Amino acid sequence: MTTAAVKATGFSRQRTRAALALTILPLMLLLAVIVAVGTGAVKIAPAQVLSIFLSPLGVAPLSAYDEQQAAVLSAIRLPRVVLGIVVGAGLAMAGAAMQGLFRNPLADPGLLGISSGAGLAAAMSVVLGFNLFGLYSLPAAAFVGSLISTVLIYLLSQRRGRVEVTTMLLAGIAINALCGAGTGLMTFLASDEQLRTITFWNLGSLGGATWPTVMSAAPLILLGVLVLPLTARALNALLLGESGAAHLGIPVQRIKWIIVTLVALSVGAGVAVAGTIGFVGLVVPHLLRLVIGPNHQTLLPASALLGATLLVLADLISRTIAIPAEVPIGIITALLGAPFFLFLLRRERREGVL
Amino acid sequence: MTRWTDEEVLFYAELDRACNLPRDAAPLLRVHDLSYSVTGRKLLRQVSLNLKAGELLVVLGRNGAGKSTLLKHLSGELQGRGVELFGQPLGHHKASETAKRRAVLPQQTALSFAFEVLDIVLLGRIPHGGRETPEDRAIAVKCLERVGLMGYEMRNIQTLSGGEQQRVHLARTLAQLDGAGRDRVLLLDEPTASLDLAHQHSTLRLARELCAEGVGVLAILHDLNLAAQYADRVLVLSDGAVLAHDIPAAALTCQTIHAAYGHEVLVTRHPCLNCPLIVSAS
Amino acid sequence: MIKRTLLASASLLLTPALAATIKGADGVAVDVFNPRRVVALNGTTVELIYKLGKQNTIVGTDITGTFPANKIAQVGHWAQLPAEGIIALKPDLVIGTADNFAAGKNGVVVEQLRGAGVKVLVLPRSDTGGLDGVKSRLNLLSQVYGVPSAAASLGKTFDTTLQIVRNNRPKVAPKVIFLYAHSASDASIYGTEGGANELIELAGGKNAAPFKETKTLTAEALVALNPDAIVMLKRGLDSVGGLNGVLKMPGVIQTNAGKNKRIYTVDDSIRWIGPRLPEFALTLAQQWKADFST
Repeated sequence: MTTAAVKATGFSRQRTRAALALTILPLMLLLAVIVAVGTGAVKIAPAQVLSIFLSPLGVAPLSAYDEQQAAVLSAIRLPRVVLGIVVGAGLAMAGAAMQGLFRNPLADPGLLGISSGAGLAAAMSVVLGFNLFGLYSLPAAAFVGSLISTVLIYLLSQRRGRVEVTTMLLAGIAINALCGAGTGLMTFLASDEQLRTITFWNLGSLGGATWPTVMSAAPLILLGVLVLPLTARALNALLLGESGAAHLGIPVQRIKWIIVTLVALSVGAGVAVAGTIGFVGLVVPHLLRLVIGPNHQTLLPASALLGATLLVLADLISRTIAIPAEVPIGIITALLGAPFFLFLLRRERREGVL
Repeated sequence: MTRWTDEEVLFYAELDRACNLPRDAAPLLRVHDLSYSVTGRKLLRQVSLNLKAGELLVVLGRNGAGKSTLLKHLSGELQGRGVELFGQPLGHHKASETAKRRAVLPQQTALSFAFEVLDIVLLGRIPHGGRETPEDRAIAVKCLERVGLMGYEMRNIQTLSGGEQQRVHLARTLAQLDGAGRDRVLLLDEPTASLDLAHQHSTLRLARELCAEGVGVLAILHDLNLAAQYADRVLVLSDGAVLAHDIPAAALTCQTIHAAYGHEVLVTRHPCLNCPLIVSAS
Repeated sequence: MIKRTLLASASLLLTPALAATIKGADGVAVDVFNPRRVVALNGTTVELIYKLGKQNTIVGTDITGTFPANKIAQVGHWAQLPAEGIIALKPDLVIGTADNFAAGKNGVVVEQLRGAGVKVLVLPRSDTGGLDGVKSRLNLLSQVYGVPSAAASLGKTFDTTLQIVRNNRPKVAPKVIFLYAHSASDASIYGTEGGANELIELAGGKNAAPFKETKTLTAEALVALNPDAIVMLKRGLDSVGGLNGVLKMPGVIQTNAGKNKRIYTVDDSIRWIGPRLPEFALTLAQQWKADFST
């Protein structure tokens, strides 16, 4: 018994790395945020950044700055960085949860029809002139669209109160195709300008982020980011299969419902305000699983941290690589993500892990 | 063809009695008149059985005889009338409570992610608390030792052989039942399927050890001689119906086996062990 | 801040007062005062400012601001304007058109710019309104720069050119299709709304497009419409491989335009209606007059 206890605390590569990751990742995020806040088309020196932040507290400026710098920092750059943190964390954690739920490392919130539903609703709001919420009509429509398609897929894959994950996959493919067709129709009906709006929305961007945008999306995304980790052990058990998890006393149907709801809310909100940003939800959990193992208790928080860091950095690149112009962030994440993903894939196949 | 003498039958009946708890003890698991059909095909016909504390009951039968369907009813994957666990209809207990005292080892568990072995075994501790404690880890290590996998704690499950993986999952079910009082049930679906000879026997010896600790173990097996050697009683299923539910010496007759499997066998006495020995006769 | 105010007061002493309050197309009145750093969005805005001789004030434009040839910093695509990128150019005025500001998140960007103290003047739409629209935008810009006489004389030049166009139209209006091609397999038709349509009608043609928007047209529908002339953007013609390429596109050779090789090219910027519209129309009208007189 004593020897067993000693062995139990022995060296675990995954656990050691996980502990290390959960120490390093917050620091990386902090660093990324500091760099992102201090960098942009408008020059604001670090001392000025600090002075602007401290000014509401009545601290005398360490370094003189003008009002416009303060406005750019607090009304343009900061909401954008915060939105990057929140959306990145939400996308990556949702990706990790979906991969656990589907027991498939290639699963993605897209399987729930979130992006395609949001895309169709966004295109419809643009083309049909939905204007109820002024400048926020498109995000509102996109969010509702993502929820509708997710609910539809969930209902379609339900049979006698049970949700079949395989059926869900197939229903997802069908609904995605339908939404794609609808979006195609909208594209066909769109004027040139509307077409541009749809195209750029699909490429994703954190541009145009304002505090109201952040405040409308953040609660929904943070709900997912904070509650999903509570399902970590259930997700671990689900890797044994649904019956295996049920034998461990996991209320499988309820857990599935909770996870799908949280993922739909957080990704739906993220997609609504930032458009479709690919590869974060796929690559981040995948990469982390290689380093710290598949245990969701560490994988979920680590994914959120790395996702936030990556999106903040991708946005930094997107808005600084072609100053004063901007490159859509979806292009950056795909350009960085796709080759990296292929590299991982080849490496894994060589090592025979996949 | 050798027939058992009445003397011998009696001997085994006594043996059976000796290794079981008192006859009047309520069975941990009781099935009464369970029938089940899918799209008009009867998979189970009026099956009745009981599993007592400390008993190893082996379920036998040819492919498609209804063994797995029966196990699914016992594990709660399928809900049928007439299944009682711990004296109450299945589903009466909360799922999380049931999981503390009943564990199920499926035929195969394919994991798509590279878990470390210890983490797999620790999954068995989920019913016992929200957070993983050092005690849980000690239990997990102990259970790995019991299945002969000491030192495998930090190995990647995907790099293990099929048999090793199966034993890891066995350790997981052991961890699940650890420290949960007397009334415990372990359901094993072909636990020896991917194991070599030595590990087949060590696994069933382990099942017997658990019985000695008071666990009621129900196992589906294909090897008649393993059943004969280790089972307290066997349940022979044929076409969804119970053909025999008795001690091995009484249940494993040439006629029953022929009726169950459609294959001629000779049943003789094991030269060194006090149990029947079944060999193919054609 | 103080430095900039000083600079402004100095210029006040040197030049006559040019302060004006101009109401934009979005209803927002903008106080302008001798702008020295202007971000001019939409190619026609840039062209108009050039026409007013104030091109030295332009410090930024979008990807469409390519004429006249210039080295102005570009802030990217007109449908995705970067707030911070524009502010970084330190403009004292941002001028754009209502149609461009309506695309994507540009509405939010305008709010962000104004929130950061940058003045934004919204001109009327550039994709509709014909030459009168150009004049009204020109008028607003002349107020911005305090040069109303320049606007008036430019307006007269337009009218003169337009008169020449009218005298040079073909007798019988040819049926015209504006083929908007990205490649031989990806082509659509400009509909009866927008700058292309204005051009066709000014030049004395009849737009045969059966719809308002930009849409794809099947080869059979093209044959059925049987246009007498096909107009393309210069880059569109290049993308399909020149005249021979167009004639090989499905349906084209079966039309009168294809049989008689009546393929015409116009400037790439035509979808936004700018000050060169009368010139473009004149060129086209003269070609048509020559080709369709018999």
